[in-house]
Amino acid sequence: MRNLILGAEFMMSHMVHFYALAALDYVMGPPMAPWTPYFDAPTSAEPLVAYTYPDTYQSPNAHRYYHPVLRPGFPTSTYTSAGLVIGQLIQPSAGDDTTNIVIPGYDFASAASAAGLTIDGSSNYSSAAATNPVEEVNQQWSIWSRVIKDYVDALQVRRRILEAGGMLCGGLPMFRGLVAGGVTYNPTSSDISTFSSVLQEYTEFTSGRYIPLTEIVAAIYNEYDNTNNYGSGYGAGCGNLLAWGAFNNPCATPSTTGWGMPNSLNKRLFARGYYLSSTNTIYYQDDGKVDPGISGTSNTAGVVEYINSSWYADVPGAEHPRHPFDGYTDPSYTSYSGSPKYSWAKAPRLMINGSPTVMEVGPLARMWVSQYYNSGAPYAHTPHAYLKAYTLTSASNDLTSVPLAATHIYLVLHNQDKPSATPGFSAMDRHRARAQEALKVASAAAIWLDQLSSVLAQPAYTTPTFGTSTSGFGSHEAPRGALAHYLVTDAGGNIQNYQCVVPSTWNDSPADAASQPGPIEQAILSNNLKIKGYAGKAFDDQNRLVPVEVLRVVHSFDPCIACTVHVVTKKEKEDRECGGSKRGKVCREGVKLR
Amino acid sequence: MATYHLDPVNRIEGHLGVELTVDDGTSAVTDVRVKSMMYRGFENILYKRHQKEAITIVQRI
Amino acid sequence: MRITRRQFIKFISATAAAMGLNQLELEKVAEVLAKPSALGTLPVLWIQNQVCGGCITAFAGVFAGEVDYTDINGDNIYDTTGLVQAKALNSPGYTAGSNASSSTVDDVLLDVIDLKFMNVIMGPAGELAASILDYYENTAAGGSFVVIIDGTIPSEDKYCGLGYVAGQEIASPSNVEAIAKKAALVIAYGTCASFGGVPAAMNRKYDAVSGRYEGGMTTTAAFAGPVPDDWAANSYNLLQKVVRIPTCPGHPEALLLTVVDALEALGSAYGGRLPSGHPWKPTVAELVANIDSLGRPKKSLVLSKALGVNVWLYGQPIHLACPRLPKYNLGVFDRYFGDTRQGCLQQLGCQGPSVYTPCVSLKWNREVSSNTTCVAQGAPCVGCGAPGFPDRTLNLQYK
Repeated sequence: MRNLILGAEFMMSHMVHFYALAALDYVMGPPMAPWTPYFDAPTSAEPLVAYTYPDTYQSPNAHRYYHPVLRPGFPTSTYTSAGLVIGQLIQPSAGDDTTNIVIPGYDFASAASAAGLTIDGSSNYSSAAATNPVEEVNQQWSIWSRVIKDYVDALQVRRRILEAGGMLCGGLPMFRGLVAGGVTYNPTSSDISTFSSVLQEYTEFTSGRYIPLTEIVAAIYNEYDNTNNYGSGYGAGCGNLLAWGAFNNPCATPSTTGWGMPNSLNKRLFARGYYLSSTNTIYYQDDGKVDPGISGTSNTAGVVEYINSSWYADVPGAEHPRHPFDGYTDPSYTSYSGSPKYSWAKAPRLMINGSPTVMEVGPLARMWVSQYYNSGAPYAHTPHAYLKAYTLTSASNDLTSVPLAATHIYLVLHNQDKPSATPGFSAMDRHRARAQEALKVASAAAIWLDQLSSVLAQPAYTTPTFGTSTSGFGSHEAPRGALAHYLVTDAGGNIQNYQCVVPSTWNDSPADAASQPGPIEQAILSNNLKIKGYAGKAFDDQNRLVPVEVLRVVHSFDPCIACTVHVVTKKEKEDRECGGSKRGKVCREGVKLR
Repeated sequence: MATYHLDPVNRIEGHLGVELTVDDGTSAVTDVRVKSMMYRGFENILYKRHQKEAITIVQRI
Repeated sequence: MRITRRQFIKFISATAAAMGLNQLELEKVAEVLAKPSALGTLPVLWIQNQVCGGCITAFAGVFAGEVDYTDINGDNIYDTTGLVQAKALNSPGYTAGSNASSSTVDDVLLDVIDLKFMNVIMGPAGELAASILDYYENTAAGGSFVVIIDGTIPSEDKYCGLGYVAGQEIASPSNVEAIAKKAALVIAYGTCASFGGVPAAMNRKYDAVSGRYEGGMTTTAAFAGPVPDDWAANSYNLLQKVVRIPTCPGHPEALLLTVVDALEALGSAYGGRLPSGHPWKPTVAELVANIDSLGRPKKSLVLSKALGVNVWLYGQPIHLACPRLPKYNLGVFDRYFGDTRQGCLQQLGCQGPSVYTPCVSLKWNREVSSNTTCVAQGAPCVGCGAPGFPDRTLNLQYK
């Protein structure tokens, strides 16, 4: 049940992130508050006057942060002059299996046929454009309308999937029915069938609309995509990924081992391990290579936190970096800027053989460490349709410098893995990995529902034992990444020390004592990101910084400063008997409390 | 080179600001500081409570 | 300002060549994006302070049921869950089935309120966004907007920065207080803003006697608290009270109903759509009287008038409407969590008899199940909507 509850959070959170949080960096939203004022608003009176509408949307210099196909009113008659086509309909290449490309609303085979376009397998679409302009105009898609409709629909789908999880635990986002020891509610078969039908809707939306849209946006804004940009995507980041693993197989005996590669029968959906770019290797806890409960040995990586860039004070004689078991929190603000300390976030690092290493967490990390996403080829083990953008006139897809009337953007759907896939990371890789992870969790949720329905007669709760004079931790994955809570208890079972190292602490972290910037900081600096600004300036005419490029990179991480981790239960039992030390046994399966 | 503050980042949970140093000539970002702008003190709120209260409280992180 | 239907239809026609959508879908988009414009609508600023994101997550899931029932006046409007959707108030006396769809968050954003600022969902960022707050603090006329406050108010600006604009930082509480004191309405959503909530819980690391913290720390932690009453005690505020919608997270339908009550009572100049004299329309005096001594609305005025029964929000303890009340009356109590007796949860620490919230009258997570609420699912009430949560009310008994 906990898998289903947390899984519902994952599914809701990922869908909300792409549509409600990230999409507006790439797509012009509806022309009203709170989606306006738009970036690079053309008039100096923004944002305070009524927004006039929509005649300027398609003029070349307006709203140039947004690709024309992702602005309202596209296409218009202005841009369909003979022979020049913008946003040509997706068409497959020779040999592509069009029957298996199922994306609702995009009927490629018949659209291509109706347009009189032949599938000739070449990148040379100019001949098609020259000979069939009228048919091509008729086949242009308003991707903007589709995205707005999907945005509104996504709000409904995410509500329902979250409620389905809430139906098992007294409501979400604050679960009251999930306590130490289990769940207070005994579900019924009717609950299972309700969850199942909501899950079905979610799965169809994710596979048919959410995942394809991440491909479309990555193809259109390919400067943010490693895969579509020969390795130069913005937002690459530190290249090191960390996952604590998640989602026990509930029907297997809880185990402190089996954190390696996922095996759905015995282990977990997501493995615990980390990946280093420098060695291009994934290291798993099963091989003794990482353990969140220690600060690190020569063989086993551990966790420490730095506060040199954070608004906290050190206790003399007990300075950071420290492992969370020995950590403390003494807030000490310095100033908004101009000081070495600049954030309320501490800087966690993975200590690998004595060397603090910056680690990124999140869906990309999980999917990569579990080898579900790799080298820009989604679904590494199965063929998958992907989109690529081609232009006729310019090899760069720099839309702010090429006049629109002369630009042909063709979105082409290809089957199979990309021929020139480039390993690496980028902002778009995170969006894609997040969408694919949503589908992965949805597929697993269907299995968990099945498993739940066969054990409905069993109680969902067992009385926990609360430990005294011990320490322990719970580590799992929250939607945004690897999560761990650490606590130390006294003789009365009261909390002596409690430290949280949450996903956004890893990602939003400031620089450590070795001056290594945190993951988001490194991602912003990756590949020479430039702030192009409005009409070539970094400021709009009200002298405001217009930093959409930075926003696109930051949002790809799905940061959460509060960290909407409302389900923080531990899913496994950790046995921490370390020969003679005070750290004793962790509580029974249920919570990280002891 | 000049320093700019992108704050609030928006469309995230919580409050985040980014301090950027941008090269005037190339418009490239040359330095960056990502700032978490909110502190509530959960780790201190939990001190000396019995551990069984933790789950109800940390849900609200 | 909202776009008019005429503007939107013109725009859609221009897009007609791009038939990515079939006709039916296009109409749905048109329906969603082009409501008839209100005669006048107060802009709303949703300002987040020390938040966890739960209130936003909950409000994004607001669901006010389907419409199509018969009310006390014989108007044929039906509602499966006992709530009249906000949209229905657009056209009193409309016929059955003519507007059968639910009020969800997109409806609220596109139709009910004109949301000028909300960190989580707004398009702009950086100075472009912060300048909006700056405008309302320094330029907008007093009483020309509404403020919904989410999250605890910190004791000092350094614990909750909100942005940077025109060479200056903006933060909570300083700038938020300045904005709120000019607002026509101040609504505190969620227990954090209403009563302080979890961030205001006792910080046990501080020793008040010695004035120091354990472990030698010398600085104060982020003592935080609710929205102070004096933020509404000014000439701009129409109610002279901070309206509080506690529970953790804030109950989304309670917020929606309270906003609807306020808009209707204040009239068309503020976005109310019922014509004057309509039997569902509350007066401002009724609105004020409906707010209890802790700032909470006792019941939903519009709904209570429409349905002819009291639709309680914060006016009644949950115990009185608890689904397990019959078991309580019979003396059947749950002995441990998940007890198949499904008895009263009092022995497990339930605070029901002293907690006044809409949890059992409106329930939670309303669309997918009619049974989702803590007590119905065996979770004792921890008083998340009561003053003093969690210190005073959290008392789960593990047995």
